[in-house]
Amino acid sequence: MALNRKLAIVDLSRGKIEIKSIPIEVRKKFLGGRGLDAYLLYNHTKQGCDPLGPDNTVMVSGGVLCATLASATARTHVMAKSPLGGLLGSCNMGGFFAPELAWAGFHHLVIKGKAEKPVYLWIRNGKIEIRDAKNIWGKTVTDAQWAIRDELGDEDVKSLVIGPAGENLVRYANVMTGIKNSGGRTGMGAVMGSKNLKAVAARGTMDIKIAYPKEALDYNKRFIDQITSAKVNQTQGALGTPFIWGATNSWGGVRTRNFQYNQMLYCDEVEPESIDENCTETIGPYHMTGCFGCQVHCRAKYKIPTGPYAGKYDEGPEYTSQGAFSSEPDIPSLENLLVANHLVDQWGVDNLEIGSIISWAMELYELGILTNKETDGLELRFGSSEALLEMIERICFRKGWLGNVLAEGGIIASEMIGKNSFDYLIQVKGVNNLHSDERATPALALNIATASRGSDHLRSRPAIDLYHLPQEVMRKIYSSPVPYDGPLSSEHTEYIGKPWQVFWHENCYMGVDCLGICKYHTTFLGATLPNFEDWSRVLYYNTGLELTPREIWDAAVRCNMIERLFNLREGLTRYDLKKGDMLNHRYFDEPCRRGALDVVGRVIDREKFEKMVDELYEYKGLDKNGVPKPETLKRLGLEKEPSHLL
Amino acid sequence: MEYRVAWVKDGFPRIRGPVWDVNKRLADEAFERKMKEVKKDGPK
Repeated sequence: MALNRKLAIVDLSRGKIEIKSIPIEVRKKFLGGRGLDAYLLYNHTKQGCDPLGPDNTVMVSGGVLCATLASATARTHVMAKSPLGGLLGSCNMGGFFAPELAWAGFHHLVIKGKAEKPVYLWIRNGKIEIRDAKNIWGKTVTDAQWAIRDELGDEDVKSLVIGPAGENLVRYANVMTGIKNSGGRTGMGAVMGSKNLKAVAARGTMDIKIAYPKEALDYNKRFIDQITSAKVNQTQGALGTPFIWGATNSWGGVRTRNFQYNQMLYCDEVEPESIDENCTETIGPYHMTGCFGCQVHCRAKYKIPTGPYAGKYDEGPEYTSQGAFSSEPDIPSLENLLVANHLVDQWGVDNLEIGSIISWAMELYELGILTNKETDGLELRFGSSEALLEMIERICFRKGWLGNVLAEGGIIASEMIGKNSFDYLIQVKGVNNLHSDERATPALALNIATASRGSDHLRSRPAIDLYHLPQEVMRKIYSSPVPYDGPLSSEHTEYIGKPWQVFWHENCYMGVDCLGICKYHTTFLGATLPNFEDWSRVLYYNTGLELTPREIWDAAVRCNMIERLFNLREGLTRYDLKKGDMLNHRYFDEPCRRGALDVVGRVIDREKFEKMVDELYEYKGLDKNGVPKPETLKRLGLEKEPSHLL
Repeated sequence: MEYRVAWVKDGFPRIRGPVWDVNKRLADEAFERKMKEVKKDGPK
């Protein structure tokens, strides 16, 4: 049974491992994956702890549907207190690790303390061993995984690893698996590095019994039809996620030159079609590849065609790399994009964060806030591939004054650089925004301002808001599984109805993060894709856990609230520019200069924005300060947290 | 190199090359016009 997968508490300081069952009552309240991780974080992590100290706790998990007959249940989740913003740290990646962990007997790991020397965890069919990592420490992401396989003598071992960036405690280092499946955002790789934990390796052959296999298979056929017939997924299967960047850039929703422009011009080389045509020389006959149990196959494979890195193999680049290494620093070069993507994959650092922070530094350099003294003579100008690639290396290996400063993340870096550098930093809760520009899309602005892990598109973004869906379609989506008869607008530049959409998507995404399903199989990008009603059945057929769509929604609301409780405990306040639900002043003060004519000139209206936040707080059961009302906690069964049930 | 935006419509041509200049000019004109309107009306 999927539900009999265990939880292990690993104390690296004392070398002790405790294995526990997960009670069904806990499952019903927090499901699994990110939701149950949030419960464990709130219960196991010491308030106010140093994120890079031994009191921080790392959670690793797969979703409750992981490795069952349901589609695309490959997601691995990692959570801890973030060294980047000092609030919730959370990352989620595809690949093949989480299913292997489940076959090895586990859904959740709680990793505490700090090892005296570099170690890795070896998990094999119900047993966990802490092993010496002296032969693996210092290796890149791909080399580390192969070194583990060599050491264990098994090519089928799947590992979560950190690269040099994590070892060097770069505060936005990734946890990675495979060539490029990246647990990015919020620096979970740095937390692993601070514990001297290089990797978690798993190999399992413990079968997972499906509760109702015939029904599960039959229903999954319907899932596959939905998924493969959606135009958005067919496009992803051909061009990968870069199509999103191409579409968004065309109307003017892409940050360029940090935040000075909202569209990248003359970018033919890095358009999705160009990447598609140039990234065909690769290993094997297939241009695209996918994660465990997925029919979309959104990940391109490529060899770098030219320059000093010619012939190097990698995967992607995703649209996030297009934004980070092309539009934000304004470098219209395919080779630059492919090389930068390769470096961050191998050194294990968040592409969004590093591209964004270097572009911020480029703007500071052009303004004279940074000079050649701080850059050690490097001409840190927009459009310079040489400067971008050099800074990626300096940051990952903490070379030079500026490399070391930028490795600390935007907020600490702005304090070290001084002057008015913070005014130019596009971040929320210490996490730099991805490359999207939300000045013309109030719903998306509300999403990044209030997302639990900081500025982020994967926590509550109503991306389908950009499709101008007919009212009846929107009403159908947003009135289930809880009734909603308030206003909805098909116009993406509007403010009306957007707080409900953000609230709905926040719970939708938490639901799938608990189940372990990829967001590309949900209403994230496709209005016709599976939803709460489908998940209720899939959950029952695969695991026997009987929850109505409304009960899954309620669990998602509860899990989002415990993330909120954690953030409040660690210092979140509504209007704090560094730890609050607030946007940089540039969203309100600097109008869009590019893109579609109805986008040009737009800013976020501050008064309307505040009203949206108020309305969202109402839906979430928070007071005007963003703190949960006592009756909300009682309704969600959270009034006694931390309850220490596990 | 032939460009396409198949996800919108098969055979749909993509704006590229010199069209970026037209795009930029139209955006610049619209921006200037809207900024004048804002100044005339005053900040909201």
